[in-house]
Amino acid sequence: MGFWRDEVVQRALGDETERQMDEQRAWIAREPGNAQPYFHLAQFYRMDGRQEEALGLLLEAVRLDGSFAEAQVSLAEVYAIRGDYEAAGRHARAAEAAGDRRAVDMLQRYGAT
Amino acid sequence: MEGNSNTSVVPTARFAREQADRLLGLLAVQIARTIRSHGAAEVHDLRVAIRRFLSVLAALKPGFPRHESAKIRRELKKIMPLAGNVRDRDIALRLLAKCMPQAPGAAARRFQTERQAAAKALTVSLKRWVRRSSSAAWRTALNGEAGEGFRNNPVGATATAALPRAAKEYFRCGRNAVREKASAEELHRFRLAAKNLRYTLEVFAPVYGDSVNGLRQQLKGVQTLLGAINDCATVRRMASRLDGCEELVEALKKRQRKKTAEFREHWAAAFSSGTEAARWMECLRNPAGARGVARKPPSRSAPLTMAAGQAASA
Repeated sequence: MGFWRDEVVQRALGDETERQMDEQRAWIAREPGNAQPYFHLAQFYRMDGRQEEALGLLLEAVRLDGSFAEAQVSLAEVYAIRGDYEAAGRHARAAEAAGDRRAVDMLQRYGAT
Repeated sequence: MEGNSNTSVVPTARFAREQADRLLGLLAVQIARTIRSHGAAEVHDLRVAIRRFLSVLAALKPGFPRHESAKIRRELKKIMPLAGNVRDRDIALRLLAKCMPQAPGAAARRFQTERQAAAKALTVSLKRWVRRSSSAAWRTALNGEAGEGFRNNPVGATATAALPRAAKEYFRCGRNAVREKASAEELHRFRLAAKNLRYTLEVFAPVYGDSVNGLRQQLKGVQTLLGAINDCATVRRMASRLDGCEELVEALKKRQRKKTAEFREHWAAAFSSGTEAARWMECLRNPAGARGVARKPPSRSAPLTMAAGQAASA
């Protein structure tokens, strides 16, 4: 089972993820001022457990579009996982201002605000 | 968009930290991309990502722990020349194809071989960076305590202290470089001053908003011309070491002269009267929304985001 999981299934999934990530990188190269591909690429990095890269991409996404609610929510999550509740709260409030309360609710649920 | 007044009152230490988080993350993405494929575009983007991160460390220096920040700058300055070696060969190949399209021959083969070796050295260095998990370690290191006086200083005030200084140096070096008898050294110094101003301007862009877009465009134009002059000088140096490249060296000399003349015209058209320079200095001293910020308490809620229109530019 280990062989099939590690050498076949994971590798196929990994190749597919890399292909999707390449598509997002190409989109960024075409439209460097568009926040969407930075956000999508960040989600792939998060799935891959590479939080450093994800954080940079999410901050770039909200730099380009401050009212990008989904990116603000993701940033609140990333900062909350790191234990930086002050930054998490800032981004959660920015998401709320853009019409998405998920991060504010999450922080309230865990008593982090 | 007007200057972002929310950003102007943000404490500089917080601003520094968020800028470092963003640019370090983007640098890590760029490093991973360059390891996968070290084409000309990837290496160029890597150099830009390193410069942007370095300029945050420099422009907001007191916002980071001094020892750690210096160590990171040293590490990055080891990667820069390795990436520069690859980039120089890319430029050489491009200029060779442009100046001698019929007979690139032995020089092109030589540059290709040198490029492969340079790319290999760069990849080894980048892989070491990833293996050491440098981005996570650097982020932790930079999150240490900032200088006491700097911590709560509004970023608007920090920007109005740093940018006019960089701009003053830029205009001073520009006046020297544009003279008919300016030396190569003076042109080089001006190129560095232009780079410094452009990247410092990018660091503080959230404070100024769209009000400095014109200056950024002008800087980009000047830098393109200065870059073309420098490319010619670099490739001339490389080609003069090789046999049978006399024709290429001559063609590059001619091209360098032409680009230098274009630069002088460009500068004269934009800044000869001095009023344009004075206007920019005034704008940098008084960003919209940053006036009087020193007396206001720092905002606790404003996230450090910039509105659309601040697209990343290479």
